Amino acid sequence: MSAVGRARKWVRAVAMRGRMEREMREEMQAHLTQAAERLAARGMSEHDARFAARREFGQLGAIEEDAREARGGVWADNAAADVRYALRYFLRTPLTAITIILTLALGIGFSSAVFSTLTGILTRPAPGVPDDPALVKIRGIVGARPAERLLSYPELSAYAALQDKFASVVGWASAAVVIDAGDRDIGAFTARAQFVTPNYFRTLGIRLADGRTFAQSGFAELAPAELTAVVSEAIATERFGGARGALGKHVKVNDVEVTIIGVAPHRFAGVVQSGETRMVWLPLSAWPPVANVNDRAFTDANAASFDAAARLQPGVSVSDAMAAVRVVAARENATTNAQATPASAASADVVPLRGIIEIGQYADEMGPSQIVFPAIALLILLVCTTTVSSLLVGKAVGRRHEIGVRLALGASRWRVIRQLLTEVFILSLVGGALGLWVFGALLRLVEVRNDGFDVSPNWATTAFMVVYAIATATLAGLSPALHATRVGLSHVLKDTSSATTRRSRLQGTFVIAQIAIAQPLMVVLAAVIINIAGKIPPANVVGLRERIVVAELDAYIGSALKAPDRMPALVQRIGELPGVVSVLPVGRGQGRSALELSQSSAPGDSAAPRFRSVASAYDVPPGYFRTVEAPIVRGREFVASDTALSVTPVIINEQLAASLFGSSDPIGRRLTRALLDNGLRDQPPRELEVVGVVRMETETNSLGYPSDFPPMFVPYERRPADGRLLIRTAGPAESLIPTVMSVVRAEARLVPVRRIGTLGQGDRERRGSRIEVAGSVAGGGMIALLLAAIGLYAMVGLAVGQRRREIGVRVALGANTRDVVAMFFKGGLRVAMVGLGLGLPLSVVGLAILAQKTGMVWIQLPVAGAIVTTAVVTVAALASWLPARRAAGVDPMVALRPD
Amino acid sequence: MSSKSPSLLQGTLELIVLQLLRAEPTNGYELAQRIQAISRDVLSINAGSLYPALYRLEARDLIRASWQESKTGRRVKVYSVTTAGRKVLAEQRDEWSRFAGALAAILEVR
Repeated sequence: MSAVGRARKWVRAVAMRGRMEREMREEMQAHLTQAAERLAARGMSEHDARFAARREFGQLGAIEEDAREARGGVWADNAAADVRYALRYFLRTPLTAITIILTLALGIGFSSAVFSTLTGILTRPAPGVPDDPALVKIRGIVGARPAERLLSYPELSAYAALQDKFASVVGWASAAVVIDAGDRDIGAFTARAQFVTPNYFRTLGIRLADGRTFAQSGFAELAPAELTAVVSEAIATERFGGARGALGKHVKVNDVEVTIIGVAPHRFAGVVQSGETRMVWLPLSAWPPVANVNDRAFTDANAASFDAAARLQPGVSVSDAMAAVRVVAARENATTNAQATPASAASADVVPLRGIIEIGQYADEMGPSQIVFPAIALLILLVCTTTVSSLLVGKAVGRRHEIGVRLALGASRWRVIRQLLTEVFILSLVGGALGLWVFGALLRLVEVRNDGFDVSPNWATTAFMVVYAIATATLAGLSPALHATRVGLSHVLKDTSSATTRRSRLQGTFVIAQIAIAQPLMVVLAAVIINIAGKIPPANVVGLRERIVVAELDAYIGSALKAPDRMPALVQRIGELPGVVSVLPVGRGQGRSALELSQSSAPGDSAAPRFRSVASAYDVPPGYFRTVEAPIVRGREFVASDTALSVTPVIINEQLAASLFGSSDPIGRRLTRALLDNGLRDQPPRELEVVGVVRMETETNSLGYPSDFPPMFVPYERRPADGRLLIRTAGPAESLIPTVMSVVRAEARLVPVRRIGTLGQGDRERRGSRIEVAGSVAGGGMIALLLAAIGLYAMVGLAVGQRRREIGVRVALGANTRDVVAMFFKGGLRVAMVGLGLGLPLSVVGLAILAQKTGMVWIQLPVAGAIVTTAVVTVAALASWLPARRAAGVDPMVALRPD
Repeated sequence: MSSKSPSLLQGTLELIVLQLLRAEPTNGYELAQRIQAISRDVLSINAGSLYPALYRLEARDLIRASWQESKTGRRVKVYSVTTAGRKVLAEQRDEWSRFAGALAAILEVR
């Protein structure tokens, strides 16, 4: 019979099993009746005839069994029987079944999400970009320890000329732009524009969600300016209510009217992650009028603005293309960068087009954070697998009696193993289905937080989930099944525990390992929670913080257009609004600064100062402290002439004054300040003179996050691109925000409002997001502890089950039931303690890494350790005590009764 | 084909069943009776051999079954030979004739 025919038969055997069984019985019954009638016709009594017919026919059950086998599809019958048996068993022990299912669901869900995210980061292109091996990024690099650089238009054109390697090359120049959709309520908004070579969408194979791409299509089509745009899904939905609403709309991009002709596919935000979802793509010919660039941008080999991607010619490998690109890059470098040292030499390479290009291309681009994520996933996986395994071992050992009897009744060992495996497969099937749900929920979370990579399930993720579920089921199920069926009948029926001590010892090891793993995980999580909780602003914000609005305007984009600075007029107009007390332009903060008392400024003293304190520096104008009602306790506030002083005046808070100067008067003392943030470290230290001390614990008077360091203040000198305003009102400020927005729109149409809100709103937002983070971190820790507790519970429960006879003997000999319970309770607790002890060094290492990575203060860490140890001990005690209590319920009469 | 090598008896039983069903479609009980009658009680096939053989032939698509009303008005499962069954029957008959001829020749040896 052909394979197809056989498969059809199998399917029929499964699908029509019930009907075939019925028909078989009916047929054999008809046979018996006919035989009985024949015998009755020969003169037998009806009863005798029926009896003789039965005898003549043979053993009905055995014949049916043979007939079934001949018919084929016996395995389906057996599987159905196994499933029925398994379901009956789960109904008898629902708690174990549910626990295993939940554990598997968590394990499968979590590890699939991690797998999906990792493959999303490492191997998949950005959302909306086809997964095509022919697509590559041509990446400009510079220096021996390579950093990425942009390409000039001539260089880009040189790569496009490599037609034997690239079927097509695309390039794009990026810029922040202001888009005015003519919406009177919302006003202008900021977006990231990519001015792309017109072949961009076609070459990369990106299918628009709606509309069409540009009329221009050639790589080098630069004139006339085509003023059309493709917008991202985010812009289409937020501003036009969907793709349909966006198409055909005329919007002003940097005050140049542009027609929206297309909407990008779901989540597409460019081929390389930028973190921005409001994206707009315009043909390169629109670059000069919209971004105000001149012809030099297309001819100057030193004007680098472009990123590049390409489609390889069929049969050309990445390394072939790379070799050709290197030659071109070296030629370009020789003409534009003749004096280059190895540290500054420009080169280029070719890498597969991924959502996040940087990771994994160079060894030193892989930070430790890329290792922490998979490590956590591995821990979860390990914990889940050991828990499932120990639960199954416990279950199997608990069923030795039943299994022994089945073996004795003639069931083959394979039959019993198959039965046990069927149970595990059913459990992992249900667990896998639930895991799919967990997976989906986690992916939505990841998708919401990240724009650069695609995490939607693909064949690789699906294959991973299926393989993982099957592997877990087989690994976790096979070993207990083999062990359980190896037990001899006589052993089982005598209930000797010798065969099982090794097993329970193994399970003890599992639990110890689990607690040892779960504990450091939780210590680290608790430390993070405490750290976050410490920063949650108090909820009871009243008064002043509701009367201050911080508005952040994207003034710098307007300034790039060489438009006149609208901010002074804006400050004046807002100040004239009824209810507004004062309007202050404030700086964006200057980051972390290291401070040291100035030496007796001896000339030529080149010894590097030994810094004593770190502070967060803020630049604020005169009147700032009065506005935020922070009292100056010594010295004076800033005045307008402060920016002209040769030594910068500084106002510090009381804590900083105490740590720097102790009890002596700080006014007039000098400090040396070095900037600590990246990119500013190279600046030479500057001298400051203390002019005032303010009573203010942390600077929370902007919408930014409060710093861990005490604040220091320097005079603010406004630059045209600055756009942060502090607006103090007489009454509650929230109702004034729409009025402020409309003033901004009227006065400075092209200055988008990035953020606006009262300090109170900022506090609430911050609080909300921190509670959310703390909550999810705490949830992870709870799950880890729960899994360990389940393992411990299973272990103690198993020990009680195994030693029922021993308990019976003890109780019969007069042992107090309380002593018996205590014995098991202590046993469970002892295992937990060993786990805790082993986990301790891991915890210390985890905390050390955390302290080093986050700058978290060490004093919190012992607190976190103490809290977690208490929690673990409490949970362990509970997980031991609940099953230990069962020992008290053992009736010696029942336990000692021979089977 | 079944993976088990058919024993002589099994092969013979299948030949008998196919041959009789080709002559006249009938149900399991009648078939057993007919074998016994035609072989003048030499061959008595019990249900334990007959039904597995019928089911095996049906699974191999050599015979097919349909539910019909018998002469006594009872619902019975009537088997008939399929085209594939006829082909196999012809082959098996040839083989049997050759085998029987060979055996006869051997038994002629004095």
